[in-house]
Order: sequence, then structure tokens, then C-alpha cells
Amino acid sequence: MIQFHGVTLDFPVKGGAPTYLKEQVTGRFRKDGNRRSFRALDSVDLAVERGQILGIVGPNGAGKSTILRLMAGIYRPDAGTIRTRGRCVLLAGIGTGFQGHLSGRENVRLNGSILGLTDREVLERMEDIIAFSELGEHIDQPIRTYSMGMKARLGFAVAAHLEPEVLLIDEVMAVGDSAFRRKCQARIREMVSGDTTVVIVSHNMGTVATFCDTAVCIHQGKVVAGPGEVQEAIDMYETLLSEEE
Amino acid sequence: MLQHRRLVRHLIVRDLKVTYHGTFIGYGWTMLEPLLLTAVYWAVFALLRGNEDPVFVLEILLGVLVYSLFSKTLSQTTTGLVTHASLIKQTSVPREIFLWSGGGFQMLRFMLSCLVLAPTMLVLGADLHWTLLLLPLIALPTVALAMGAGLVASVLHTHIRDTAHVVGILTRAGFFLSGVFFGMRHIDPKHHELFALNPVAVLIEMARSCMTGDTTLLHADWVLRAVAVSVLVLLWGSIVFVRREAEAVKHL
Repeated sequence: MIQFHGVTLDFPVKGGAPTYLKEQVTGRFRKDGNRRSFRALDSVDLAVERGQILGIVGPNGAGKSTILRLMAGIYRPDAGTIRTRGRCVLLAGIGTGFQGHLSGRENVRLNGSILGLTDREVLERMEDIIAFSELGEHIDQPIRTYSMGMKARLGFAVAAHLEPEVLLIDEVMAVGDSAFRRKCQARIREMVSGDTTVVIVSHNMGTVATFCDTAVCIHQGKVVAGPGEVQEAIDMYETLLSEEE
Repeated sequence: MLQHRRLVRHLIVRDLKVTYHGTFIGYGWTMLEPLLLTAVYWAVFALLRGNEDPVFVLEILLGVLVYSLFSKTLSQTTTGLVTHASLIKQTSVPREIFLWSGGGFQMLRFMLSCLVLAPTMLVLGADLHWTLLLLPLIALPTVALAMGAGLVASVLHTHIRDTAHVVGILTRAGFFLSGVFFGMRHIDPKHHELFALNPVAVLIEMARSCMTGDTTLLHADWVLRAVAVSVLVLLWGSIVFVRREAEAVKHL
């Protein structure tokens, strides 16, 4: 379960060292005086029930990935409250933290541990992960010898074996060749069909329409459609896109 | 921290593997490096300057080991948030984990380096003293001090990327001010109090006393002060970090 209540998040606009120092000095006297910042999210309200699948759509820079990062606890909101229950995993930029000099197997151990698995859990799932990644004997080679596709496959294989209660997916459907992509989608479908709560950010409306129970459209940090009917959010997104053009 | 100890261990192992990856000697470098340094100090101080005292060479070695534990931990912690930016922005792991694993890695390296000390002492004809066993304990306040300062610097570094350069210059200056190449016994006693205000200098002297078993030049209140300062700096660093990290992460 995830609940957002009036969530607001500001990002600093980089002004370099002099600006920062000046703010540190003057900021003590005038709190939030004329601090330059960019409002990434503006009092966003959202609720995802357990087992539900929410799609987030919106133009580039709307704040979709920021919402996922708030859900995962990476950013803390400047105003408003966020409540999440259950082990939360964010799938974004597959294979982050892979270490080129270590073997695939060692990286699975490290990556699994970063993503919250215990050593025992990693060990139990190791063979499944290797099988899923289709890397065969390459698994004991250092990752720097891998192609981009191989790295992505291994990254997704680890992610696919996490069994989180809350799964946050940020545009990772397009991994590897088309056969592997189908396998990923089938796996996501499997993960999604249980009582896992899922939030998907995607620019692919087909993905959103097939997977999601409900959707929101975000524009310039605000919810402009939903949460509600998936088609409603998609329509809004398409209207926004045509307006931009 | 306890909850994530497994991850800390994995990250330390990763650092070890990556640092010594592809080398013939591997982890042996942690021991070979201090041995080679000792050879250089011996050549300079014993051969060229005619200092016959074998302990002096080892005192310098200890100074270098303790000071590099301090400076490497400090610099690694300072850049820690920025170095791990991509991971920090993708996982909900508490960010201090990435900084502490760096401290742990440096501590492990220090301990491995210390292993060569006893054999080297025997070769150079110095007396072995049981207090040598206390040497690894010196790493605790040293790392605490470096981590405390580093936690503050890591937050500052996300705002101002000049921080790491400033820290680099300060640690280089500190190298000469902390008595790495000289010790309490080479200083005029009337300046001892002043010298002992530097906690790193006292920690180095403590390490030397562990080796020689001689504590005549080490006052108990200096030791207490150095340890207390280290703990307080760590506490201060942790408080600043907890309060400021949410904002710092936005700058990554």
C-alpha cells in the first residue's frame, strides 16, 4: 500500500559554490528568502492499494521518476506525507552498481545484497537467476567482458527474483533482444499477478494499458488526470503531447 | 548499520577485490607496500643519515600507516556520496552504508599492513613487546575521527565540488603537522602540550608506544583527549549527516 498526501518536492537549481555559501550565510536570517529552486512535485495526492497496479504517464520531465524515488524512500518530501508498507524495490537503470572487474556471479551477490536480499536468499536463487539471464558459462567471466544486452539481462534476472511487496518499475521493459523482452514481460506479468503492489512509469501506452488497473497523468509536477480509469490518463497524456507539438 | 552489516561486508570485499584486481601479488600489496616503504626509510635515515636506531625507521613506518589510514578514510568518505551517486539514486539503502564500508575497507587494509610489523622488527633487531597486540585498537579512534570529519565533508561536497580538493590539501598539510617523520621525542618538551592538541599526532604517538611499550612521553590526559575528540567528531559528523543528507541527495 502506498499513500501520498500533499507531497511537494523542490530541487535546488545549481548556482555553484558562491551561491551556496551566500545562502548558508544569509539563509539563516531569511528562511526560504529568495532561494532558487525548481518545484518537481506540487502537492501530489495518490493512493495505491495492495495488489493494485498503477501506471504513471506524462511528458518528459513531468516528475514521474521523482514519484517513484519518493516511493522508494530515496528522496524525502519537503511537504506532505508518504506512507508505504512492505519491502519496496525500484527497478530503474538495470544493473546499477555492477562492478566491471568482478564476475557475473559475484555481481549477483553484490547486487542482490544492495537490493535487500540476504546471502542465503541470493544463494537459493542463484541458479534460477543464472538460468533466467541465459548467460551460461559467461556467468563466471568479469562483467567488463559483457555486452550491454548481457549486462541488462543479468540485471533484470536479479530484479526478477526479488519478490518484493511493492515493485516500482521505471521504463525497464525494453531489455535485450525481442525474445528476451517477451520473457521479461511474461515475468513482470507473473510478478504483477500476485498480490504485489506495482507502480509502472512508462512512455509506452501499450504497456500501461495492458498491465495497469489504474493510472495517473502527471504534468509539470501536478496530477492532471486520475488516479482512475487508465484510458482517461492515456487520453490526457496524448492531449498534452499534441499540445506540445 | 547492524541491519545492513551484510551489505557493508559485501562492499568491503568488493573494494578489496577491485583494488587488487589483476595484480600478481593481490592482497599481498597491503603488506608489501609497508615493507618497501620501510626499505626506503632505512636507506634514507640509516644509510644516508647514519641513524643507527632501528626503532626510528619503524616509528616512521607506523606514522605513515596511521596517517594514511586517517587521510585515505577521510578522502574516501568525502567523495563517497558523489562516487556512489548512481547507486544512491536507485536504491533505498541508507547512504551512510556506502561511506562506512569505505572506512571498513581502509581499516582492514591497515590491519593487514600491521601484520608485517612484528617480522620486520625482528629483522631490524628491535625488541618485541606484548603491547604490539594493542596496535589494531588505534585504528578505531583514527577511523572515528576521519569518518566524523568525512561525513560532514561528504555533505558539503555534494553542494560544492571543491570540497574534495580542499580536504586533499588539508590532509597533505596535516601530514607534516602530525609528526609522521618525527615524534614527541624530537620536539622541545615545552612544545609538547601544543603538539598534543593535534589528535592525529597523539594517535600516531599511541601507535608508536604500542610498538615500543614505552609510554614515558605519552600523558594519559592527551590520550583521553584524543580519543574523546575522535568520538565527539564522529558524533557531530553523524548528526550533521542525518540532518543534511536528504537535501544533499538532491544535489547528486
